[in-house]
Amino acid sequence: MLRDRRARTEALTGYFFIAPYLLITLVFTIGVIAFAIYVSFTKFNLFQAPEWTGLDNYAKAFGDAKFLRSLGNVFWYVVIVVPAQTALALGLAVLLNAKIRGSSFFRTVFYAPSVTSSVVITMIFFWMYLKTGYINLFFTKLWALGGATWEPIQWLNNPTGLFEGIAAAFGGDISNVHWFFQGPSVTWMAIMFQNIFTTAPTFMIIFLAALQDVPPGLHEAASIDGASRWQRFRMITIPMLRPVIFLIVVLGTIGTWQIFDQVKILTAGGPLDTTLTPVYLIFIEALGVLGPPRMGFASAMAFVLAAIIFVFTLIQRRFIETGTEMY
Amino acid sequence: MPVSETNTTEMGPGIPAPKDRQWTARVVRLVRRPLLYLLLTAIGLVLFTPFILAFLGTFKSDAEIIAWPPSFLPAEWLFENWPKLFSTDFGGRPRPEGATSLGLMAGMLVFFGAFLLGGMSSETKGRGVPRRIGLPAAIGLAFLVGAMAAWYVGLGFDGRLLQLTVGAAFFVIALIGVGVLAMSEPDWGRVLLAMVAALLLGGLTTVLFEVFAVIAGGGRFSRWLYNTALLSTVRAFIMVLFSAMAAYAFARLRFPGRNFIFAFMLASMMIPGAVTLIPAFIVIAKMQWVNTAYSLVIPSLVNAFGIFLLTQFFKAIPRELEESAFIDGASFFQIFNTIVLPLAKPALLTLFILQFQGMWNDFLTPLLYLNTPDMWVLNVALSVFQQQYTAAWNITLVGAMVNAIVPLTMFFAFSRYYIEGVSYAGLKG
Repeated sequence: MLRDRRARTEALTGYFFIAPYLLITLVFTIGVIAFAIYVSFTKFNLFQAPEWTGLDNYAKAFGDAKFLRSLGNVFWYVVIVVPAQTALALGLAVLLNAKIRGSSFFRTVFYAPSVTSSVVITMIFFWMYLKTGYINLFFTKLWALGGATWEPIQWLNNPTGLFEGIAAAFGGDISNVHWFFQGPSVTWMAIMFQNIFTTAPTFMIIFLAALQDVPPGLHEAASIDGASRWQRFRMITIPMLRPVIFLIVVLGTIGTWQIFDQVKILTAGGPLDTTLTPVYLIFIEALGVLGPPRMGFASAMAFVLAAIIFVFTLIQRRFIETGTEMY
Repeated sequence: MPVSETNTTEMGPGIPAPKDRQWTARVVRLVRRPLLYLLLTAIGLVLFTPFILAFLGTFKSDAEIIAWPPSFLPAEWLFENWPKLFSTDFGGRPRPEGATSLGLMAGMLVFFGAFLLGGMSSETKGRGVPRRIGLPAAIGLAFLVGAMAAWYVGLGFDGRLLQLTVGAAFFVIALIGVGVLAMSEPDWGRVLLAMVAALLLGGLTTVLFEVFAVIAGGGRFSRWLYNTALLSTVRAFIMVLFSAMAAYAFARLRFPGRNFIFAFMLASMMIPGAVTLIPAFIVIAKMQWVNTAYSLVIPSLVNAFGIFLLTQFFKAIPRELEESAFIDGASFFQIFNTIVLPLAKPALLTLFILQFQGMWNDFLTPLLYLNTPDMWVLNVALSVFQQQYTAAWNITLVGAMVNAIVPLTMFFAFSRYYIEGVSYAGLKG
């Protein structure tokens, strides 16, 4: 009898303790997603009642030039930024993991810029990317070292694609091929650089914590066997870090597919739609920037994006786990 | 450093040269450390360069800041650029419903905190007012709290749905407080007393913080700073409290459905935010929460990541302490409050810092929900500011610096907790 009563009190207390989580999740996660699924099958502008249109929104999304363009843009973005920031973060972490005095000081200094908001950093980069800004000054000085002159460029208003530019440098012209194969635009790559610059230190901290969990005995044993520094990195550090690498690649992928802040502040999708992204499109549809808000269409785009992110994550898992079996 | 690392290929086969080898090893050993320090310093400088350049830029004139070639130090130090930021005015008077919402969010935090803390003293095992009178009276008082909140909202704004939804939110929060305290067979007289005291305290806070908001102005920098600081603080506080409660339940209490809910919570962490963006906006617009503090605070009062982090932490605390307290007749809430929470202080502080920073740095949600100048947070204001005054880069950079100062100061004060939080999130997540 007493046990029963205690168990009942325990269960009731449990429910009261998770009540805030349950209620808010029920309304703002489960309820809202169920609603989004419904809305994605309707035509809905916020002011009139939703009108059922079936799969129309999804069909429209896959036929929408802007949406496809945004997916293509972000594809290049993910493919370049995620490996770059992961490698950079790992490199920084390995450097900081050296047993030297003051490494925690450097850790703090490296990480500090990442605690500020992306709006602040983007604003500063906006200013540095101006035609009369420091980035052009840097290239001017660099080119001057080699005796050449650098013509300052409009970093944030340059639709030239990467491959288009490379082809032009060799006298070719690929301006007629499909936009996807012209590669990311100069502006888009400028944003990529800024993103790598600001995200790498955060992931560096995660790598550093993981590196400190690698048993030092492994390295000692390997170096007694005559393994070089690089060999130990390849054969011990990387395999031991595999789960963390997977985590960082996944976090990076989910984050980069949803890039918004930089686009909103720096380019609004331009020039010539080369920096358009899905979340930016969803955002302007919701606010009705281009006419009446198309909530159904925006929801459909959001689900397509979520599906793509999900598939990407699955592929990465496959890829990284297959790697593990080698060891 | 082991000798095997040095380059030995230059030596011919069969020619032993132990002295040479030792010599190279010594040089490598001697050079490596200063080189490493040099490299680390260089990287640190590169990472900080944008901030240094921007900081110096805040003192330059309108012309100098966009002149080619850009200068490093200002030709003339214009210290008056900084106060200029505070005197910019985007117009727009403080809207009463906006100021009320800020006040009520501060009031909610004080009410809930004071209620639970005050209720603690009532744990003297059912003397005084009996349960059959105390419980209904407490529920009635909870209803009164909701009704008062709804009434207060209605003073500044004519909107049925806003009043109804905000009132309901306050009623539910008060009810949860009653439920938590009721589980420990309290002295109901004291619970009711604690509730009335919390109601007075919360009401006073509401009025006070609403007045502050009005004093801070409409579309002015002081108001944006106020909005950002208030929203970040209140949201982080309540979120840590709710997360800790849920985490304690997941870590220690047995109830049907616990594992399922926990698994669901973990899975929900994988849902990309873009999916809920549109429908959440629709719901919030329908409830008339747009351009008020409710839209940013209430939907994000709980956070799956925070609950998960604390659950792992609580599980690592040895059970013995709690069990002996239980035998002494303490209730779950008492154990939670007096044993578990004090032990978890570092984890709570870590979560608080991460959540505070998360709200302070958020951009997309405030941009979507807060459109009137009196409700902007710093990030939104900064982006609008830059669009309006494309020429005044010096003032925009002052705004960026002021925005960055708070997170940076917090970081340097609590850097250990930041780094623990981020690395913990990564390793166990």
